[in-house]
Amino acid sequence: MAREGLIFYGSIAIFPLIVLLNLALPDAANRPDQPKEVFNGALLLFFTLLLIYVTYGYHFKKQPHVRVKTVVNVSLIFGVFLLLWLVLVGKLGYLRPHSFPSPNNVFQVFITDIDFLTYESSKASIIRAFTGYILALVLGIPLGVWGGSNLRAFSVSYPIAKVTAHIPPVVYLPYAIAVFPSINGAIVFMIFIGAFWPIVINTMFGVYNIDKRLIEFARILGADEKRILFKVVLPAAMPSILAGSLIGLVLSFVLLTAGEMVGAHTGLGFYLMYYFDVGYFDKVVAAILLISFWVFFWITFGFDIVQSKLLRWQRRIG
Amino acid sequence: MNSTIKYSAIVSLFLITLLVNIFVPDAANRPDQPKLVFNIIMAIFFAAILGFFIYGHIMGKQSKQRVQTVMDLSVIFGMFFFLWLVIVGKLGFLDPLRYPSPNTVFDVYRSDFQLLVVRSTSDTIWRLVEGYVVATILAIPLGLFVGRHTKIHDRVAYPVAKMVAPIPPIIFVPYAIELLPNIDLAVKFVIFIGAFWPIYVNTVYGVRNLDYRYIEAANTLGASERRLYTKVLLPGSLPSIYAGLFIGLVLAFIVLAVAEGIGGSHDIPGLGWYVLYFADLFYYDKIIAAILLIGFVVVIWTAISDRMQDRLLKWQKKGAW
Repeated sequence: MAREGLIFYGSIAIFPLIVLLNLALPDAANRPDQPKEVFNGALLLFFTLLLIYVTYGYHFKKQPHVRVKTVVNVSLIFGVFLLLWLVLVGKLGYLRPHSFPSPNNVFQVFITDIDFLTYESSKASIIRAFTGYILALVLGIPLGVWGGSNLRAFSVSYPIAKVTAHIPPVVYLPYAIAVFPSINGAIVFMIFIGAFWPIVINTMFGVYNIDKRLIEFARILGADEKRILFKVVLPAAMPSILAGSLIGLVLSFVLLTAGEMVGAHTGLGFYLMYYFDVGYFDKVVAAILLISFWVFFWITFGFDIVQSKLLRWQRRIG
Repeated sequence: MNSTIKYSAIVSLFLITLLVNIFVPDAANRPDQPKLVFNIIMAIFFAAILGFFIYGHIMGKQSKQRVQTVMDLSVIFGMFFFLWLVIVGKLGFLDPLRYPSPNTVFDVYRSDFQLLVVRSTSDTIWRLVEGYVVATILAIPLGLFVGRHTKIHDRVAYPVAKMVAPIPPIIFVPYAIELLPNIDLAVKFVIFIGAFWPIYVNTVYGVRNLDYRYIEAANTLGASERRLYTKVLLPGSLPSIYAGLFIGLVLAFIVLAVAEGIGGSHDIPGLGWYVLYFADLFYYDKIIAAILLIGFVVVIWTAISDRMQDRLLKWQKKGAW
């Protein structure tokens, strides 16, 4: 066990190592005078958070061992990626400087563009994504339950849903922009459509596949329809509903970026596309990192926590 | 007998739409609609459903439930075309620029036959097939391998997938266009990325959730590693792989549309490019025609993959409720 602790602490030591390398090695000749403060600061901040997490979770045994291991492993892979990027691109000067900026320059963008990129664009994007996504949840789950519990509705809506779900919602966007009063509404609508289908299909499928005996038992034991719905049908279909909701969440971020890249005048996707057209690749990469961060953040800290709460009854398969 | 009358009414819905289109005058704000293509398509629908109705219901060659499903679907599509034609094309409601009549929309397939139906569609399908098939061929074996080897999964594969898989593949479009030698390759590459992760993640999930006793039983019976992969791991994880293929296809289509829209031109056509290009020029009839065509491509693609799925998953029990 003690050896494992050493491995944990050793793995996260890659972050101070990167900072040291960044300070010690000279910048590449084709990318001179990189501003190092933001990159170093971000790494040290991340390192501190990880250190607290590992100490709290592993040392004081406040977190499941597997989870600590996953967090450390994910961070280590991320650290190796940053290390390679810094050394190969920033210090040794491989690859074209125009399209492959050094991480120092990229992280600097988060501070120089703090208003436009880090705050305004993120806010616009996240509000859009969640408006569409929550609408899809609110409409999709009840509709899916209805479709799944009614054989005729199921056999009609399943083929329709399957076809409609495959049509990339992006192609609705131009038409939606024409029909909706604002571009914002069009993008939210597209996100809604994109997230709606996986949620409906999976809910329908989950409800349809419930062991019929469970419902008969409940009925024999005298439960009314409302109790059956909330105590039997929904919990039994919950793994499938959550699987659909996760796909819906991932899709809504994909569509958000797509819609913003194609049509919007605010948001992270617009920022990415705008600076790609102008040719500022440090800003493009910064936007890519920030989008990835938000997606990762909402899925890991938002979705996984909700999921483990809702599925606590499910026995974990070791 | 009652259901025969009901179904006959449904079948004739397409014929009614056709007759209304021929005999009712066009709306004043959308004069002189070219009716030929829409009429032909309605006639094809009518003939196909009539054929199915006679074959399935009257001759009793199809299960009752299947006939009912087809009839329900026909009602939905038939009512859709009928209402669209009457409300927009004949009564002239709604703004003519944004809401074209079905006659105008379907005529695009004739007037733009070369660009839309031939070149854009074939290029799009070709890109999709290449990117998607390469992703499938790489993701399934890799997923089986990683799912089988717990150490590799825990140490490397799971953390990487956890971090990279949810990143929207679309944000790589500009970079792919910048770095790869031509746009066609960039589009295929991004489709590949978009389809790869869901297929891979679901394959791994399928293998790891496989009942461990199957693997042990195969080992006890002396199965070689190769037989274990082909006879136990692959069939056992197929339901999960199919879920992944479905999501991968959805993502591939989304990514395809955007990548074509950003990178395409008259020389590099594609359905996604077609929609986004004519959106800038406000040709809404062309946009709707392309959206419907994409839907049609999707129907064909889904039908083929469903056939394959049914054949491969014959052993799986169907849901009871």
